[in-house]
Amino acid sequence: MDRTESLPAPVRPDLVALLLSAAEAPPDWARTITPQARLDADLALDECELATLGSLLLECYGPVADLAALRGRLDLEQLAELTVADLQRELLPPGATGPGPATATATAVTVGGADR
Amino acid sequence: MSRFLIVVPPLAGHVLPAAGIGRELAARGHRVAWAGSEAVLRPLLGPEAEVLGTGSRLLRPQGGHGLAALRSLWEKFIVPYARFTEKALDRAVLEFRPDVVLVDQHTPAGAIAAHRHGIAWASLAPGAMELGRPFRALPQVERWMLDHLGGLWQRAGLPAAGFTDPRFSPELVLALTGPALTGPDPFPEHFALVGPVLTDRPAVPGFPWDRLEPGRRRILLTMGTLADGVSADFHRRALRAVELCGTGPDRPQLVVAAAPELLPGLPPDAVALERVPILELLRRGQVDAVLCHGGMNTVGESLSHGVPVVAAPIRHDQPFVAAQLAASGAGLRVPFPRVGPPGLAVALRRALEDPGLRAAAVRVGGSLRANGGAGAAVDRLEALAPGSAAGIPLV
Repeated sequence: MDRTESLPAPVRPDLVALLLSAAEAPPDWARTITPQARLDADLALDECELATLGSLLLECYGPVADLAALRGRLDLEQLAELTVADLQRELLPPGATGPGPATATATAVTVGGADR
Repeated sequence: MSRFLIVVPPLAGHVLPAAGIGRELAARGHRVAWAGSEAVLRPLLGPEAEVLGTGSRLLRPQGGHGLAALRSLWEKFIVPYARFTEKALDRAVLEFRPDVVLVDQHTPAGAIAAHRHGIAWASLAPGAMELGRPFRALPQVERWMLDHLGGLWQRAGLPAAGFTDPRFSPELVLALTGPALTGPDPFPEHFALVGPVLTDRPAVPGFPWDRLEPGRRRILLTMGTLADGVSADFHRRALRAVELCGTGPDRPQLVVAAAPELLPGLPPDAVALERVPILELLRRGQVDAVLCHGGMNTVGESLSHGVPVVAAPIRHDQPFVAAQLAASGAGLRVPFPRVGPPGLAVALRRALEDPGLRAAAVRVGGSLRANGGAGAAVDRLEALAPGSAAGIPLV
C-alpha cells in the first residue's frame, strides 16, 4: 500500500455504511471505523465478513472496487496491516459516493448484530 | 487384522473424535496404537489404550482472532509441535510397524514419518480449516502455509521434488462433516466426508445430572477448550442474553462448559463445569439449543441430535463453519466480537422456538448421520490396509 500521505482522508460515509452492513453492526460501531483502523485486528472482521464486504463494494462501485483482488495480492503481514484508509484510497472511485446503505444488502446469513 | 497408528495433537477437540474411530477399529479386531502426548491422551483414551508417547511440551495455539490467530496456530503450534515430535513419531512408526497411519491435519510430522517409511497414511480433517481451502483467495497466505510444510519436509531429509502436502493424503482424507454443511461442490474421490463421530466417550465424572431441571428449556454454552482468553466478555454477554430469554421457569436453564469462577453473574440454577459431557447431554435430549464458537465437532454433534445452533465464531475455521451452518438453515451466525445481549437473545429465542430452524436442524443432522461417522471412516481405512481388497501394498 502506498502510505505517503501525511494525513489520511476522513472515512467516507458510504464506506462506513458498507462496513456497518458487512459487520452487522449498529450505527454506534461507526466510532471504531477510523482511517487507521485495521480490518483484521481493530475491526475484527473475519474472512466471511470480508467476503460480504467485498460483495457489497462490487455491488456499489463495480469491478473497480475489487476487495478480493486487492487482498489476493497481499501477504500475511500486509493483510494484517490493511486499513480502512487503504480501502478508501485503493478501491473507492474519487468523488463517487455510491448508492449508499439503502441498497447495501449483506449476503451473510447473520442475526443479532452488534448491540452491546 | 491390521495395525493402525493414530497420530493426534494434544488437543481434546481433536482427540475425542479420533478416539471414536479408534474404538471402531478395535471393535472390528484391529490393533490400534496412538502417538502423541501421553499426558493428554491417557485421560481421554483410558488406561487400556496403547500410547506411544512423543513427550509433552506446552505448545498451544495462542488466542486472538483473524490473521493473528492463524499466524499463531502455525508459528506457535503446528510447526514447533511437528519439530518437537518428529523423531518420536519416526520411532513410533518403526516400532509399531503400522499397516496404516491416520494423521490429524495439525500433526504433519506424522504424515512425513509415514511417507518416509512407505506406509499408507490417511489424513483426518476434524475441522473445515483446510478442507475447502478457505484461503484459496489469498494465494500468498496459502503459499506461506506450504512454505512451512515444505520446511518440515526438507528438515526430514525428504527430496523436495517428491513433496506431498502432509495435510492431504493422496489416498484418503477423512472429514468429520458432510455435504449438508459443505454444500454441493464436489470433493475429490479420495475425500470421505463421514460426518461427526458419535460413538461413546469416556464419562465425565461428577457431572450433576440431578441439577438439570425437568420441564425447563436448556441452552448449552460452549466456546471451545482454547478460548478462555477471549471468551470472558462473550460469556458475560451470553449470560445477560439468557436472562432476556424469559423469566422464572420460562427462562432457559444454562449448562456452561467453563469453570464457574470465570463466569461472574452465573445464575444459581446454571450448571457450569470445565468439562461437560456434550455428546451425552445431546443424546439424552437435555439440550434445546446450543450456543458455541462454531467448532466443527460441536456443530456436527448438535445438529446430529436435531438441536439448532447459534454460532459466534472466534477464529480459524469457525467463521467458515458458522457460515455453512447459517446457509444450511439449521442455525444462526452472530458476530462474536460485536453481538450484544439483546441481539444474542433474539438469536437464542429463535433457536429455541423457531420450528423452521429446528426442522432444518433435524434434516441436516439426519443427513450428517447418514454419512456414516466412525463406521464409514473405518470402512475407508480398512480399504487402505495392505491385503484388503482395495489395499495398497507397502512400498
